[in-house]
Amino acid sequence: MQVPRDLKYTKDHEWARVEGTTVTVGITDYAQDKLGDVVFVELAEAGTQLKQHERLGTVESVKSVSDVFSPLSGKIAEVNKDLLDHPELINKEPYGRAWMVKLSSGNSAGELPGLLDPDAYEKYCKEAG
Amino acid sequence: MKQTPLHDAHRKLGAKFMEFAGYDMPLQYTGIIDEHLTVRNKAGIFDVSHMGEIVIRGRDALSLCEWLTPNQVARLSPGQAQYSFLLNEHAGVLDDLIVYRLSEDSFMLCVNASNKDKDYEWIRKNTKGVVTVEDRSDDTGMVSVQGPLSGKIMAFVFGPPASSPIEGLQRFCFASVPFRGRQVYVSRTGYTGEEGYECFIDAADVAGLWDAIMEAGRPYGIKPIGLGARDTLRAEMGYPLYGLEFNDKTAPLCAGMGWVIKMDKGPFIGRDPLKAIAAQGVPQKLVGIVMSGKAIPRHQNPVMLKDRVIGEVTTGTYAPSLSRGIAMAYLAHGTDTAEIGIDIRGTRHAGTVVGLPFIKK
Repeated sequence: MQVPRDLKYTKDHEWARVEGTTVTVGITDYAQDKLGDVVFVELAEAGTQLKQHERLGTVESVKSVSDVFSPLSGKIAEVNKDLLDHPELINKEPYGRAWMVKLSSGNSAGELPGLLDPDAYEKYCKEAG
Repeated sequence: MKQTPLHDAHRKLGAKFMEFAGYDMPLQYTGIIDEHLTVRNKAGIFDVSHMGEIVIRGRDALSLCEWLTPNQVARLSPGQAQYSFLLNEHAGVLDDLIVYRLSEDSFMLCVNASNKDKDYEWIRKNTKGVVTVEDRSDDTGMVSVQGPLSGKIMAFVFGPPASSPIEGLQRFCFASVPFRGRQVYVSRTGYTGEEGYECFIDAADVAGLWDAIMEAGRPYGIKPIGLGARDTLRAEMGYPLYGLEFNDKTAPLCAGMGWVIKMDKGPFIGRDPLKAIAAQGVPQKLVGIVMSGKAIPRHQNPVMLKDRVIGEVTTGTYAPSLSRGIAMAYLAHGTDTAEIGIDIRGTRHAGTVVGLPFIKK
């Protein structure tokens, strides 16, 4: 299971890459492995204002439907259109080409301590099995 | 949770497991799409040991099977099998099953895992004449080999290939075949739409058979297949599944299963209500829906014609052979080829009504 060191994580298995006021969001390697073959991704549109933990989209594997929640508050600045056409990228490059949205999160710094660091996330996943 | 005798083999093969009918069963190994396409293009092996086997023997076994099931059991010679149902007195479906005629006066009913206890109780309750009814489920292992290369693989397993006892086995026929000194029933049946074989063997010996099939199948690219692909394979063929397309409230006629019902064969449980339903004409039929976009319909999503709800999805899934979402639903007559919508979690997605199966074999 890959857990990149430069990301923050949620217990819902989203990752967040915080670069200044821009936050890139996706789902983790652990999540894609649990889901199996991802065949459909639906994302909120650019411009949508999201609160922390608000639903930002849905990921469907052959068998299951899972909601994806925003790890931080912010406004969707960009949606990964390539991912909508190629949902299988989530299984191949969950931290790379399968990023979902970029948020502009001017005021979310206060929410950051609520996210898990890589060690804590890895421990959380191991306990979940 | 119960385990089949192959649980250890699945674990070694890296399966992801799920609970199904009280069993810890493999959901997938390499991935549902890969497994699905392997069965369509090459061959796959399934552990279906969780399924139920109920054996009915005795002087009156044939007449009991005729009473319990709506297909005509007397048409079967020993070595032949047929698809049928257990119906209740209202003609609702208790289960769908395959009846195997083992000999003149012995029959094996292969039933769904989730229903086997209920079925056994029902059969016991409705037993008449001189028969014994035995639930052999826990003592019987079952593996299924499906796909265009399955015949070649099975010929090697039970070889030598040129004189293999399964050579020339017709669809819905079976043979008692020796395997390492034991008898195996090898049946040309399955639930994938491909050429395929189902093997019934003592639970204690099923792991050896699994290994032998995997070994013989290696040059042909055989892979183990989990319940995930089992479901997408049957869905693409439009095969109904108990609990989704059938339940104890629905009669089988709506599901396009009129061909199974032999009204004139003599009395059977559910015949009178079925006659009444047939006389009135069935109001609905089971159809397929292919989605226009990428959205995937799911069980119980409403089906819309213009602004009106006209039914709901029974089976909804992703079809790997079509790279699209598909659904089955009971719709009124006259909706053939209609452009409909499916309400998927509050958003309407376009689809087209098609005849079943979704893929032509």
